[in-house]
Amino acid sequence: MKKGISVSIASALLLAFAAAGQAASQSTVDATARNDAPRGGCIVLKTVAEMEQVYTAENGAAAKRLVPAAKVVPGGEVVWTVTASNVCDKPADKVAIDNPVPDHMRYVADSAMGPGTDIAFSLDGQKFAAPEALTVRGADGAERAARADEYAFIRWTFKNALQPGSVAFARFRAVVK
Amino acid sequence: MSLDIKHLARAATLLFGLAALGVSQQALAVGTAANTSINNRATVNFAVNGVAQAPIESSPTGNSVPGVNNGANTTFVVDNRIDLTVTELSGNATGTTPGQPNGVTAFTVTNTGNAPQGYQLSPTNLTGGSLFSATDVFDMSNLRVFVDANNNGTYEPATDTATNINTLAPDTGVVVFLVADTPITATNGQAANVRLTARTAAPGSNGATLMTQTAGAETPGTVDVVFGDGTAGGNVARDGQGFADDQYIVSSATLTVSKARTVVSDPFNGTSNPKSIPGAVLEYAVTVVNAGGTAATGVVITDPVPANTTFANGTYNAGASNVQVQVGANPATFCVAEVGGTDSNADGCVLAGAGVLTVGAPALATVATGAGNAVTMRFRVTINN
Repeated sequence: MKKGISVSIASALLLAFAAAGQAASQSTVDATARNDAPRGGCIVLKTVAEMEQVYTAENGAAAKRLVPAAKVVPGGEVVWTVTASNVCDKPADKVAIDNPVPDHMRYVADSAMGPGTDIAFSLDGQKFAAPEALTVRGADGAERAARADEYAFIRWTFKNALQPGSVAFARFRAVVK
Repeated sequence: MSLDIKHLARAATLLFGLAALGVSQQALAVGTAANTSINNRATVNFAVNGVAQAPIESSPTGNSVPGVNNGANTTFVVDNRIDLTVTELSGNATGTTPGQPNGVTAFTVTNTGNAPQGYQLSPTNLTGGSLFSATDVFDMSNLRVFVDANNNGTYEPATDTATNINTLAPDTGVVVFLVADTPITATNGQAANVRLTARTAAPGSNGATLMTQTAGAETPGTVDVVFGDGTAGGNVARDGQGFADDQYIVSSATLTVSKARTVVSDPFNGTSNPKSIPGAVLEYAVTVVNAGGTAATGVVITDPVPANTTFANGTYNAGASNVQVQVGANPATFCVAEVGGTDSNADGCVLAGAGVLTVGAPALATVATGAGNAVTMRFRVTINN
């Protein structure tokens, strides 16, 4: 499993991912069950939860880094990172990652990002569109633009094929309600 | 336009009502409950050689097995954010009188965290400091704290006996009373500031087990404790406790007694420029003024008849009375001081055997505040021959 992680992206990101992988592996994944399951997929998809930590860098300046999500209380912001690694020997194309905004969380406006992706949002999981195209009907019956905290789903559509051995990533931030 | 004004007025009334009830408007939604698991799982759709592949779900360490539920949630639990507010309820000082027992001040303790908590309550006398435009100069005695068991905002000694908050649900508040006795030595206008401190304790521990923050890194899958309380009202940030101050202010009677003497007549000059010669009649006027904040009740004036004089009878009220009592500029009233020490007509005036005049209720009882309510008692004596 860990093999998929160690593909290089940017070195700073790689550090964060490795740390997150260790923390997450203590909690939820049942590796045995995974090994017994049928294999064959070309993409290893991984989700980690992290939060920003302000620390003092070697030059004495305040800097930020991502650490495994810890001591998250209402109002706390979590950085969700999804990585897709192509473990086959053929390119994967038409790659699209779907991620619901987790229950009890609120999407942080303009936080979704992913290199080489088009990002669309959805209120219902059916209709995905750019933010300006999403509307809701208000209490007064009039259509208005949907607010970021009303987005329920995020979709990253990759413009280019994911080459064998390469890793794509998508990220967004959400706040605990 | 008139409609808008009406709405505004209604909104203002509502706000006022909430404030009067002690509902903290800062107590917004307290957020997702502690110990809630937050789960996330992404799905990737893709094609290989133009052929759509079965979607793959994510897992915390990476999953490549296609199909629904072959992935796993990436999960964390929401931790325990401890937050509270302590507010003083009345918005002004509580009046008291010297020696008064069980004076009550009221506060509200509100749990604004995301989990049920208990609270350890401590009352303290403050030293110095200004509140409600008065400065603390004395301490209350026998300072105690009680929780309003039925949350009716009224201190009921038989009901409100708990001294700590056992458990308080998120986003709820409870009224807490400080109860104290005022020292007899306190004087009018003096203020005593008191403080209620609530420290977050484990729910169900009756305030005995104080909560502490989880040190170091988070333990995945367990609920860590994080202090999230703020600095409103001079509180210390993130210490898991809150306080608010209130004040007792003394409103007492402050009596001043003065005594004047005039010569009414003498045997030779009559009432024209009389002199203090043997046989002359003197009038004594004893005046009591209350410069305090509260009426004095149960006032009794005692005055020994001067040596070498004799208490004069038949001096007032067309000869029917021998003592005059006057309140301010009101018409005078009269009573009879019986010689021998027995108030046989029960008018409150008596002359004891040793020549001590006593004037009390009902002839004289209350001295209200202000110079206009000064009480003057008069009697006459004759200088012995």
